[in-house]
Amino acid sequence: MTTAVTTATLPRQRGGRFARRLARWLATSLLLLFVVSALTFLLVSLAPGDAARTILGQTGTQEQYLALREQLGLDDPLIVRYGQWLGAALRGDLGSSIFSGQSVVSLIGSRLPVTLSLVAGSLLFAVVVGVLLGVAGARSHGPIGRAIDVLALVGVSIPTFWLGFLLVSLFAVTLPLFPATGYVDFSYWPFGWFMSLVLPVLTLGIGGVAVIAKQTRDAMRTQLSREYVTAMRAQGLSERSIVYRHVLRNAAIPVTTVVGLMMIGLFSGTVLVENVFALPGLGGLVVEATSRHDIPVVQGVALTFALFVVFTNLLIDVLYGILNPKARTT
Amino acid sequence: MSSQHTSRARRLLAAAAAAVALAATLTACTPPSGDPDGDATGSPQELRIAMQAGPGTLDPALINQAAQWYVDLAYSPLIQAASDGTLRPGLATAWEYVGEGNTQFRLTLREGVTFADGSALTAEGVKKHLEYVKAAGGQMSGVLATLESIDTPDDLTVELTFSAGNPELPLYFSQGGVGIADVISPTGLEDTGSLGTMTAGAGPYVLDQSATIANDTYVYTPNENYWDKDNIHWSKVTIKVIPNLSSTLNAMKSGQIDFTTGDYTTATEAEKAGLQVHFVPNVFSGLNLLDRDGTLAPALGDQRVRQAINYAIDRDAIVEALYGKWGSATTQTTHGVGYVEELDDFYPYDPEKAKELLAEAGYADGFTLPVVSAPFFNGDTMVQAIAGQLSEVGITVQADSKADVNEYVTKMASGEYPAAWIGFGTLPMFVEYQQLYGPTALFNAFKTTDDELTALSEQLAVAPEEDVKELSEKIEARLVELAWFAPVAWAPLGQYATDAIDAEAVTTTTGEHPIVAIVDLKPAS
Repeated sequence: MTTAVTTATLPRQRGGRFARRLARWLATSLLLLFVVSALTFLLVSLAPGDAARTILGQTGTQEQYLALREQLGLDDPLIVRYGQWLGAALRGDLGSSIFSGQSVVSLIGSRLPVTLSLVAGSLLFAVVVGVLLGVAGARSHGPIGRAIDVLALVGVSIPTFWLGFLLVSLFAVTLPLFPATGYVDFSYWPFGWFMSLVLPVLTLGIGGVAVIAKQTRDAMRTQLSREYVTAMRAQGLSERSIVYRHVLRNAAIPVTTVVGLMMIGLFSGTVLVENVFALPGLGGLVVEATSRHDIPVVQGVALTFALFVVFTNLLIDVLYGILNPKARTT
Repeated sequence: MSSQHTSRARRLLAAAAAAVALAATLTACTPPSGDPDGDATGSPQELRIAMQAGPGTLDPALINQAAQWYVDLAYSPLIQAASDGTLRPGLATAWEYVGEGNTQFRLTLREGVTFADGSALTAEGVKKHLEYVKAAGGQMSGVLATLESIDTPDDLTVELTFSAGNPELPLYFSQGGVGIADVISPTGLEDTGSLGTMTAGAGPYVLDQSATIANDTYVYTPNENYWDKDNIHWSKVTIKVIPNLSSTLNAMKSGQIDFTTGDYTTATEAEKAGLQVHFVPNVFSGLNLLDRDGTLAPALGDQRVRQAINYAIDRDAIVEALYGKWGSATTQTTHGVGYVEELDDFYPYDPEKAKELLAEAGYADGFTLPVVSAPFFNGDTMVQAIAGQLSEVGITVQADSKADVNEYVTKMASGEYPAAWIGFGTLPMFVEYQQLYGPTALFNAFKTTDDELTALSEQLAVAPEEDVKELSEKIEARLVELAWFAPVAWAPLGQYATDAIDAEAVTTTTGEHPIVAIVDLKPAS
């Protein structure tokens, strides 16, 4: 009887714990979004210059400038302007570009696929190649391991900007295999989409390959030295099965954490890569909007990036739970 | 036997799947119809332009002049300026000042013109357009600030009355005055909120909104209603925003882009890549000696000190170091009407003469000169180079660089600095009076006046066209003599074109008109 009661309450306890964790996650996420939006608004507003000066250029008179400031509502106190923006944002209205009048949601919507393609492609490239190299390095104590060390150092040290130009020079100008700039929409031409992403993905992902390869190799070596591996070998399990079914799964836990951090880093890396390859993504949008002091657009993109961070963290938590059952009960 | 059957079936299935995948891949390898991003497969009839920045808005009343190509393609100006600056009829077939004093201006409109949206060009429509531009508060609204009335005696005549004379109205009613010249259709004016993302003009092309990504790619197709169909040279025009000029050059080398604006930092590379490279001297770069009354820095209130600064600068050495063959030395503020070649020798490099003048003015031991600077257009490097040379005559420059263009402009105009780096593009002398040296000009932070300069500028405002050159030259000579500025070099502006572009329009730009008339670009024959 006692056993039956205990067994019945377990799912309820788990459900309660899940609900509490979800509520905590939601509260933290909302706080993060609020802080990001407030800080972004503050920083962009306090930066020298404003949209009125950008519209008028360097030659507008002070009278014209003051009149335009008033017309654009830039005269209102900062707190009032932020309150107006926040109120609208809570109703799902992110406003419109001060310059073009285009809605921020539609601007972000038109550029989101580009940034997502770039980040997803780079992540896939970094994880697949990085893990394969890491596994190879862990199983070989010779030149492959040392090569991975060198590659990791080089991969992390190479400036993205420089690497991008090098790849374009080699594979778009000297050998015209890929386009030097631009993006092709997947729905328009899938092969063109793929080709337009090859060089940007290599540029953005190569640093990640190096990091993941090194992390995987180190984690794999730690796991390979554990007793359970010796036991499996003694039981006659094939080396392939030991490495890929058991060791790699356990080694994946620290690697997953690195991948999560890397994914967040990739979003910020898109700003440079989109600049080099002239890709119409969110990075380029936020750079241009910031330089024009187009606050609604900057706010919208900052919120989008913050949402990425929030959901990436959630994804990593979920993956962590899948890979490490102990993490689910704590 | 059963196992063999299963194995064979699997192989057949795999082969079929592979065939389907291959067919799908091959299909996917072929673009549906042309390349939306303009790769090397673009036909010669397609013009692909790269710009370093997007327009922000497509509303002619609010667009920045630097982004005028985005609207020039879709809006026809009242007066059309060719690449060399000569004016020809556009939506207006004739224009003239009425009476004396350059305060009344009459435009005669072209008959039978319809906008891309089908609405008709009328005098009443032009009046509403000008009223909108004046109220919108954009870059050109200042020019219309003195516009007192707009009369439309008939359907094709527009008469404008200004409260002050302006000898440059034909320029403002050409592409040079983006918002003013590019007439918006009556339909477009009914919904001005949409003008930022669409076009409503009577130009040779119309924006294809479905193929356009704001601030990244702008696609234009021919306007079927264009009044001058013989001058539509391209079946499609694409402007691609490529923020990085090195990326633009790579795109040109690999055949993705046909035409762009260039700068001297990439000019040699462009030349080596076999591109057409055409540069003209346009932006004077040097020092703006703002405190001409000596409010903050008493030394600058003495003309001899300002002249000493001009004598102490080795312009040729700085030009060679900063711009190489793409720049040239100058002492003047304009390379257009008003430029006098001999004036460039007014201040030969003579540090001894500079020391003498400083001693005469009571500054034999020199003085300290705070200068607000900026990194764009090589401003900071220019100031450093000048500082090195001024130190030889005892003047210590304290440079304060502002990374943001708006902050630099605000500080330069604030009256907090006695001097500033200046990079100022060539403009007609009357416009320089309004923006560079006149009592209300932004670049005249301390609002200094000089009786002779004011008198000449007031004469220029009301002068008939035939007197403009002589008066402009006198003003330039006075500016050089007063040494309100210490110009050092002409920083060039120009463009790069591939062989797909006819050289004629590319190579005819001048210092006063450095930007190609984009509608005049033609395919190479």
